[in-house]
Amino acid sequence: MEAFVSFLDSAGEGMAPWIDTGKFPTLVAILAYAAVMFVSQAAAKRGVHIPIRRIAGLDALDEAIGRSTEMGRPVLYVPGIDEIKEIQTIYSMMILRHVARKTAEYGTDLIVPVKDSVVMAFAEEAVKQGCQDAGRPDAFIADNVRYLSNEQFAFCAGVAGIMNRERPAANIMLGMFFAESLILAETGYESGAIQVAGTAKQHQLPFFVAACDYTIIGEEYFAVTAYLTREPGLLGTIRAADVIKGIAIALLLVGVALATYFADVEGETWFTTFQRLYG
Amino acid sequence: MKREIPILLTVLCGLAITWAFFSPYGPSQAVNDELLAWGTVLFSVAFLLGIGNLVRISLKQISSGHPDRYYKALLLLMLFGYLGVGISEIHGWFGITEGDNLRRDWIYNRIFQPLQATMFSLLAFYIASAAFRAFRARSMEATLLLVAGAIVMLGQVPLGDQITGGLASRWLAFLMSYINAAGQKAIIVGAALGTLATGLRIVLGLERSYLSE
Repeated sequence: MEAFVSFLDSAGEGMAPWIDTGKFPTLVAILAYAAVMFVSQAAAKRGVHIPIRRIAGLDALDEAIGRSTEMGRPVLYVPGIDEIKEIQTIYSMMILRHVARKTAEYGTDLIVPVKDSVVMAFAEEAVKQGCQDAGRPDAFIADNVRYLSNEQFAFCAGVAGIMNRERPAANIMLGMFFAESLILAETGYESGAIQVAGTAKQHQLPFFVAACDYTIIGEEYFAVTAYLTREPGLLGTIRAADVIKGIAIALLLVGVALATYFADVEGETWFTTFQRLYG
Repeated sequence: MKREIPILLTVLCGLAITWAFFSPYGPSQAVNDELLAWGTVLFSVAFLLGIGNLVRISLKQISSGHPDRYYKALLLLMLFGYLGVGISEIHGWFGITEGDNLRRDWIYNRIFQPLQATMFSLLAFYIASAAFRAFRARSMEATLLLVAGAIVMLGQVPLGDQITGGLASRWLAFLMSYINAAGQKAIIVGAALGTLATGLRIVLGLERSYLSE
């Protein structure tokens, strides 16, 4: 083992090592997660049933789009304000494709304001593909995917303007948001739209919970496509995340127990040790 | 090949950048730096796409007599006007000293910054209206939200300790350090696992819905 580590530490005379051995635990964790993910996906494709609990926010997506169709008003989809390199934004594009398919099926307009030019290109493609999935390529309107601004509050002002002028009946805000989240949510509430918001950014969740009708919280956000499509590969990914979470919880409990057991000072009871460590 | 080549490019670039995170070996870092430089160039070029989209939609609304046509005209005036000011300052045109940023800075500091601050300040009013709507005891969860909100608000101001005999700040510290922190960490762990799973699927070429088919 030592020989292996010293090999990794020395790619050659005067050269940086092959692998930063300090990051070994991270690499092992990622490989373990990938292994669990592949096993879960294989099980799902073989037909093993993987249940997903009901998520109200995801059921509400169809309801929101249906409401817009009945009222003859558009659906507004805000894919967050971060760049395409953020995983939440990429995931938002996948969800946008599903939403575009639904709106194309129902014949409802879909407006997608974006903050980043590259995201705009992805959004256009996602909406176009969604319309094609629905068998309605003519439903794609290029002018409905709108680049507003690269500045945070200029984009926020633009979206607020769309909400006030075009009065969408449904606002779907899924992606990475920052300080503008409450402004968007409150403006949408005042315009009378049904609002479904979701993000994995924990600092913005309270604002969405307070101002929106339905909120998709944290890891539920990454279950959206699996929930909507029930594709075995995606369900397997959700199962893998649950397995890893279970392992992490077990390791945490074992770690806490061991740390508490070995931390006692002579003369202390276990209760006073616990108080000293965690009080 | 229309699908396979983009997937192959995604897998190769993703694996190269992921490997560069774990390996400080010179060639690994060189590949990583080169890919990031290419990405920067692509992002810069993509600005033109965004500006093209903005100009096209604005011109269409101006020419069609849309009610917002005057705002669209102002938008285009500011966009190209600021661009022109910046370029003339960089190159020293029209008698401007080359490299002088005075006019650009003036427009940015006197127009854009106050507008940005105005939008940000709306948060203060929206927080009050959202809290007024959300903090109502119509269900168990809403009641818990109300009680937690009241504790946090009382604990943040000196008056809270005066009213509660010093208990407000202690309750706030307990709430934020244990209950809130535990909840936040749980969300962070869940989101991190979701991010990792989606990232792995994209990097390994298993997730293709972001590609047009």
